[in-house]
Amino acid sequence: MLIDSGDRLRLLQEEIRFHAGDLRNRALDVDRAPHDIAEHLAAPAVRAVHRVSMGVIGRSPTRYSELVAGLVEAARGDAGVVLACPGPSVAGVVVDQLGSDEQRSAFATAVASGTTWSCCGITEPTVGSDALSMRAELRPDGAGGYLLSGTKRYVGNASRAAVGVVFARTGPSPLSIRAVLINQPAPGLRTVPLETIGLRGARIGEITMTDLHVPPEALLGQHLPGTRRGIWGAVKAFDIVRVQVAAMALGTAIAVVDYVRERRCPATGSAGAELDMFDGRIDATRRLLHSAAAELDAGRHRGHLSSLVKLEAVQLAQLATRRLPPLLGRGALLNHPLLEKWRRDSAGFEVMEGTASIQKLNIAEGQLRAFPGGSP
Amino acid sequence: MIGAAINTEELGSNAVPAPALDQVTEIAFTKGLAAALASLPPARETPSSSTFGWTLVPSGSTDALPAHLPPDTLPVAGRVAALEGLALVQAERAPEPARARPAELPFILLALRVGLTRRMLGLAIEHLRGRMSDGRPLVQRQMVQDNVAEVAAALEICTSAIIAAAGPAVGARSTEWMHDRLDRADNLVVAMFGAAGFLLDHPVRCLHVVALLRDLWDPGGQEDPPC
Repeated sequence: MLIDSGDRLRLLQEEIRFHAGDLRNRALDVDRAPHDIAEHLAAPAVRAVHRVSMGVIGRSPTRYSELVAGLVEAARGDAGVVLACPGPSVAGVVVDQLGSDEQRSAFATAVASGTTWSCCGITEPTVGSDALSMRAELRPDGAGGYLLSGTKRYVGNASRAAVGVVFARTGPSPLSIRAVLINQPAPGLRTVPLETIGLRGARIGEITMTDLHVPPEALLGQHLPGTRRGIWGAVKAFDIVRVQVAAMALGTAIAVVDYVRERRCPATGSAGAELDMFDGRIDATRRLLHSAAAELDAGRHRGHLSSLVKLEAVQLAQLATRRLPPLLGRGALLNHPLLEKWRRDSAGFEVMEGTASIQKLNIAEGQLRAFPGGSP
Repeated sequence: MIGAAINTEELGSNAVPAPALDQVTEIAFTKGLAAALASLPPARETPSSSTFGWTLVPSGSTDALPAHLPPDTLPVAGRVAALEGLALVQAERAPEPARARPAELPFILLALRVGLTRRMLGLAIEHLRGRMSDGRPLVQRQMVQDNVAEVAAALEICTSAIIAAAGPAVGARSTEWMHDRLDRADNLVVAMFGAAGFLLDHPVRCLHVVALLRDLWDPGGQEDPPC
């Protein structure tokens, strides 16, 4: 029997949906003690999330569609646990964009076990996500390799990652920004976790590099044209990761709606109307999300679409976590710790890969390009 | 600023004298959340508990309550609240009926929110002045200024609404739209700090705690009970 891509997507959704309950059962433990993650790693649900996440460095023609479909279902369990799972993460996206076949293969092997985390250092303490202003330096070591120095902040899974990607500059121009593969532990590399308000499973951290030795084969993008070796890869990675963040935000919104509806039955009157409104927005956002993923699968990187779906999904998650808990009565956020947690998590989606303002700038840029001569 | 004091005669003989709302706003603005809550008369320190008995009280006042602290595995909400000088406690007594709450409480909460959001806006503007993008401070960006203006407008209209509503008809008007405006303003202010505002040790965490207070004191949206 032939299985087409639609069937594969449905099967994947069903499999992850099956595991969502277990992910949710782990949510508050991971939130409270994100450092105590070892006990969760062997769980079938965590292994299933790892398999889905490996899609970013896979070769399926519908890998992004599969990835977002899986992430929505997993985040219906809990996005914080999803982000705590080992896997290729953002680093995998960058390696997929900028790595040679050998580098991609080596990276995929490194994170294939399901017990190895990866991390990606782009943001810096003083310049935020303004990647063009980054200060981390990559200097020749005189023996064919490089020395990497600088600080990266707000890096997911930084302290527990064994492999990672770090962006740094070899000179003053935007084209001199390059990406390198790193391993942890290593002399000259120090990572510390940072306590966050939400999405605590992501174990955000800071990386400090002081003359960290980088062998020549760890430099990404050498096989690519000069204009596509560094920052281009970061921009493409942002487009892809924004769609993933949107998937998790949407999954969180669905989780909140489901949670409230299950505990308020029958939801009638204005409460029912409110939940119905969310159903409609969820359907619309899901359709937009799958369109954005299909564009990525087709090799059409439309950054403004990624930004648009991220903006809509994050707003939906924030709205759901704000408006729906009161339907469960006074003090619902304290009575139902998952609702309180998801509210904190939704604040994290806002800052991942750029706030709403950054997304709006991207959307506007896309619209201005769509109407180059003015009104039609 | 808010100049209206609550007319306690309108609240009946059981009403506890309330501070002027502008004082609540001012203390929240100048000293922060814990100080503003501590400035309220004792009866207002524990104004509402959840239907399961959970509530937030100033950390120093927990002994006065017939309550117990949660187990060692303190929920993250409790940790965030503790950093703001509040304790998450579960009262052993039955939850207080909603009708027994002071009628002016929603307006005290709104006054507190206005002061606190304004305090965080000031910090955010300071942050944005020092943050450069493409060689210019972020605060000079039109989109950033748009957000600052939206927050400022929300603060002014809510201040005006509190004064207008907190007279003889106190408690009779819906506060939901004001909370919606302030929720939106708070989201914008938090985002102004970027990822830094998502760290537990950042002062803007107080806005997360305020969301919990709102959920306890004036949640809205309750027309029939959950099943």
